[in-house]
Amino acid sequence: MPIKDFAVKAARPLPVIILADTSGSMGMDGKIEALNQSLRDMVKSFAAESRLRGEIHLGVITFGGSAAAHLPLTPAHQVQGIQEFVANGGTPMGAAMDIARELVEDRELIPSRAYRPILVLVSDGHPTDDWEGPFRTLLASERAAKATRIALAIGNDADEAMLTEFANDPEAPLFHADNAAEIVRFFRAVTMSVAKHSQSANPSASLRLDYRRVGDDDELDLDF
Amino acid sequence: MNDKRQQRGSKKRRVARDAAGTEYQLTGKLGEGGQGVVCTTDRENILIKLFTDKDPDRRRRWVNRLNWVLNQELDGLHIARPIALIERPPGYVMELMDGLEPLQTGLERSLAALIDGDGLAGYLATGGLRRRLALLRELAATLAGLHARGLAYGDLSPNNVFVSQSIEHCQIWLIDCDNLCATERLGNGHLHTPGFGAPEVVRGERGVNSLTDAWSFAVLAFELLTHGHPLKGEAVLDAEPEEEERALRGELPWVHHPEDTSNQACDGLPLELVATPRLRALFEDCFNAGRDDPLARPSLAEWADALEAAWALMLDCTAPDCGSSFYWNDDRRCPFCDEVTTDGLLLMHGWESDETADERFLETGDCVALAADTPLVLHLAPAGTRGYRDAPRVCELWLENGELHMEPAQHAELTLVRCSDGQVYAFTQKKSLKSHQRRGLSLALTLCHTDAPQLRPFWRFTW
Repeated sequence: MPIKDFAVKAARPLPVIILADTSGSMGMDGKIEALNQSLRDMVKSFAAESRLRGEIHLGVITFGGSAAAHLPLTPAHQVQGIQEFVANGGTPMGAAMDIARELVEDRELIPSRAYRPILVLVSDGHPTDDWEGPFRTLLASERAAKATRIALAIGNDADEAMLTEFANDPEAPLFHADNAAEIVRFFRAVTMSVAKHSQSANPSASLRLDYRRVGDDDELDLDF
Repeated sequence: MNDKRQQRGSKKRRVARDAAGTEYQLTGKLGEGGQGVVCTTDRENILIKLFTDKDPDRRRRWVNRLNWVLNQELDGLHIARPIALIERPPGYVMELMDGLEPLQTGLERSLAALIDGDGLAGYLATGGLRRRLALLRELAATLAGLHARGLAYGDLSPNNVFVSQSIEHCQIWLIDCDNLCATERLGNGHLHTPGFGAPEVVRGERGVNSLTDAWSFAVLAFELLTHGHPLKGEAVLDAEPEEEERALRGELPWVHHPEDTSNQACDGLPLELVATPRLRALFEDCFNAGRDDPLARPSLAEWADALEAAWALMLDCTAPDCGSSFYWNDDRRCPFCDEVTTDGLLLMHGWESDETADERFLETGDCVALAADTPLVLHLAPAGTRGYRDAPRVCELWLENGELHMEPAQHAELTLVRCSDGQVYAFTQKKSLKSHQRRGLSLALTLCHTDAPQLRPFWRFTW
């Protein structure tokens, strides 16, 4: 006779949605390579994270030439690797916002028992499509309004006004990256903060991004 | 690793130095909590805990408490105590034997198997019910010993309890003793691990003490045994996350509340499969009345006794694909696979007395199960008390091929009594009862040890 089975509920999902700029300009100065590396590291870290308290789900939306759901929202431990980004075309951020809104408001993909989503927007330029409408609709939508929204401006050509408005963490208005290494560092900070957040006393509260300074002489290197 | 460090241009050091100047190369991260990290070092069995919070006030308070902990008498308890202090960043050196891992690691492995459709494979691979009871018994005994010294542990969670990696062993050690405190802690916030804090601590009304330890222990025991949470039932798990916060603040009934079923258990192993009636009563006292009234919670000493008694009732399933351990039942039927186990014997404890002729045997209700092919050592004290395994051993029993073998220890004399007519047979050498003699007779094995001849426990069984 077979051994009996018992049902257990998976931990609450913690959706993390990355909106990544893959427009042509990202192809310069190793930016797209840094983004690819960052995403790979992120997936690896999330997959190794404990699933006892919260299950991190990762989704990636890209906008470069056209906007697309690059990685559908998937439990991080089931992600089988992410297709590399290729930098190409304009910056259709408005279309990406529409995809993000549909995803965030999808009650089947993100059930009501899920923790508040975390939206991460990364861009190095100005939107090239009609973005204002989709942007306002996204920010006004019930769940995106409650979500933790983080933005990274890459280089000097990013639309900082728009990115600043997107970000809603009062302690971390807008992050800047001037080179590829800083893109990697930003994603490391996001990864570590999300991992910590998923284990915290209150993962339904908004995320606090722990953007540690490098080169603090008092500290030991604890990033093994 | 090197690439990454070069990439970040990091010039940070990896060597910690203690107050006496001894250097420790940090080699890896063993655990990370709200206030700090625990690292392995290049020295065998030496770990270092570092306080990573940079707030100067909190740092100072932490160092002060650590100095206080250094002066506490912790000898004889399985607690990895500080043996030296690190100054920058603040931290301490502790000794922890090899071959241990956080209890959390096993819990995750076991839970992942259940979620991913591998059923109880993970539960069994982490030692099944028998080992869970043994680990919890050791943990309860350690905490009871700490409480008996007027100290509380503070932040009990599966991350702070280290257990043997090998499921053959049931060692437990507590780390993170920087949370130890004498009385209720008021000034340092209400440190607890999510899910394990007592409701009054979660609500921020009180600090931690031995009664909040009792709550955290009960949650840990419930989770280890059932893979459920005592406050997260149907009403919580399917609802929005805010509902979970309400539950952890103690605003909803516990999942096995006898009358209020509004938050009934909906996942994990059924409690009656993994807990004896005595253990279930302790859970009920802790999570029902004890939810609002800390004094209603069973003490760690009560838990240790009840776990010892529960552990004594374990049988091992002999079905080839099962491998579960389960509580004695008269049919010897394994509740995990419904197969009947080949053999087993229940021994019921009592005391023999000459005082009253008509009541020569006084039964205590304590029982021990003898599983086939698993030797059992009988001690002078009854099972179900923490002193049991420290009491002198009197004999060893084992069941093999349907025969019962009884071997007295040195300085021990055994007497076999036929209960129907009081006929006795005393022996000091190994004696066996054959399978063809098994006729449903009630027999009693009386133990006597020269160290304490006035104590005469007996174990009654049917053969």
